[in-house]
Amino acid sequence: MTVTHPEVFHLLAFLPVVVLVLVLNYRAGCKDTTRLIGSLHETTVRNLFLIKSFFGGLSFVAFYVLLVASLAGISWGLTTVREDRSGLDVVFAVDVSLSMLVEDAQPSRLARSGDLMRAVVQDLDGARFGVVAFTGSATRLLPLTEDNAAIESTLNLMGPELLSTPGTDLERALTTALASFPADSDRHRAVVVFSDGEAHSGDETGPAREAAERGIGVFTVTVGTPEGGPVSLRDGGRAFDRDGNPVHSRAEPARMRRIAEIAGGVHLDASEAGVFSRLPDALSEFEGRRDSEGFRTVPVERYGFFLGWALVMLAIHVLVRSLRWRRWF
Amino acid sequence: MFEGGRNVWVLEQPVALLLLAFVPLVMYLRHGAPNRGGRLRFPISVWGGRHFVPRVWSVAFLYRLSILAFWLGVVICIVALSSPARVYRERINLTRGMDIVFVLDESPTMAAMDFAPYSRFEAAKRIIRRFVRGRENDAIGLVSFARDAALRVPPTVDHQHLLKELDQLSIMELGDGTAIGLGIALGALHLQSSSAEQRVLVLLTDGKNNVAEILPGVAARVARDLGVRVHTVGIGSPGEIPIEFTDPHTGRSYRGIVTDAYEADALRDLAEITGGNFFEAASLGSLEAIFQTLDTVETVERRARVEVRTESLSRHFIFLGFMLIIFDFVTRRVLLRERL
Repeated sequence: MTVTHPEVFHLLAFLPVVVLVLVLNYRAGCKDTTRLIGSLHETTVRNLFLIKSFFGGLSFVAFYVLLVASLAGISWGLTTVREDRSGLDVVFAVDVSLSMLVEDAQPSRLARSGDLMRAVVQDLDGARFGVVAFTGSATRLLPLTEDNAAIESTLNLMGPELLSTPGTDLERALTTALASFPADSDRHRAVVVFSDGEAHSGDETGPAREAAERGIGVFTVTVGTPEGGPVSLRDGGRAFDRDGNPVHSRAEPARMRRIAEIAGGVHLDASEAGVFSRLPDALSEFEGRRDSEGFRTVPVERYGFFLGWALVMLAIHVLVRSLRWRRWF
Repeated sequence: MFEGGRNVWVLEQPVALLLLAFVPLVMYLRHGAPNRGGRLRFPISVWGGRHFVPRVWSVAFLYRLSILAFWLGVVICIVALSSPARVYRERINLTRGMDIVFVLDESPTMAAMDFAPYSRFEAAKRIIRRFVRGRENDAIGLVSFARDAALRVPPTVDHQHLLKELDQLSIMELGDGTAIGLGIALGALHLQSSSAEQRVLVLLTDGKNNVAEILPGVAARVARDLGVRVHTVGIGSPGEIPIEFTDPHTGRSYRGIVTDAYEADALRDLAEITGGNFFEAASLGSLEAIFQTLDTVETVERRARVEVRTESLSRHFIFLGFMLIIFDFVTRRVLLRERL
């Protein structure tokens, strides 16, 4: 079972307020009945009022919870979608912010990423490649092409001088990468993100979900270690923050892993052994798996189930109040 | 996108709309049934006159508004249950198109104004743009040259990117000179790893080669060996042509008269070596005609299918319905202090 929009569950925080309103209404209602009918039939009326209030309130609370559940995008089970595609398009989204120059990966985070990309280009024959560079902004450096000479010269170009915007914005990186795939292509599509995951702005879960919906695999590679290292400036000197402390950059694999999880890709750590074969293997497996089957599986979202029951609860809520139950009971 | 990206809205589970039939029934039970619960009947009224009705206008208004919101919310939730979705139709190309690289001269003489109202350079850019728009399925690249040659865009089907780069091209960024050989060699090199069956290079120039690094004949033979067909287009009309341009490096403007012309024989030879054609463009009209010819000469079989992609809109409906029902709840239970 997966939840696509877990943030919706925050709406449940209002549930106590709803219950409180219902309870206050009930207590005020009790007073009113006494005032209206005196103490003559008090117990019968009170009991009836309690029962009606209880079931009316309960059904409304159930309605509230079920509707929130239907909004949360809960899914279980799998269904298949026909997908006749062959060949592979890969867009590399490469973080070129200053923190990528930290040398906690060998020889540096950025150089390590470059080596990994070369390994992928060499191993995946017949694939087309494109390159997006990003910091706080993102730009398409190389459109999807088979031209190996152009790919090689683009990879040699990668450096923090490419983009002047500071920061790291994985959302823009993914959005730009997703826009690099032509709509009328019949190839499988994958994005490979290289970053330390230390993002400063943007919410990358949105484009990751979009990728999942469109059947685009997003693979993430964390370069750098959680221990991290000091950030150097372009001229070789150390970077200092406003208080005069040296800037230290730590990789955040959790963030990178989450992107891959949402988009149905694989997360890799650039420093693990065998990563140079694991990344190309993961990509060709992605292509091969879909090729052989001719369809892909997607989770079935079950909002209808929750929404249906929510409407039943709402109907009960209305009927509890509107029917004169005493006629039957 | 299919048919210019038009999309339609559909209901994937229209059966759920049958629930709408129950809405009037429940509405009647709640608001119209003579013996409905949850209300008090006052026996106070003038005999034969009007019954007791609340006179506070704002309360009555709020009450009616909340009823409206509630039932609207219910209807919207039922519509959401029927899975409203937007359907996109996308045309997917099933065949591999050809690879085409344009090798465009950007030497200063390309600023000559004999393609009125455009310069030779602007005219060439416009015609290339129109050509690209008609070749959806083909990977197209761009090399420009003057004293030097540079790859602007590798062969790609991302035509949006290509057109953007084409727009940004300006005269004399690569110095003063005409390195035809270098341009052809660079274009052919970037077609080397192409998997397309047909690889075509289109050279557009208005001058003769005056850079000796790679001779055009040698470059053409290299192209032929790589399986690249070279079409050559000579641009410009004979005679004295006024010229005006700005050097992008110094910002200085130049004016003058151009009398230089391309060497028709040399360009014809280059085309013949590789099995391509030579064209002469002396006016805007003839340049257009040449590109129409190229468009019909260079064709590959093309097959496509239409892929349908649906995007569910249910969440938006559920959210709206939810808000309306909550509005009703807050209005009645908190503002109007209804008890049950």
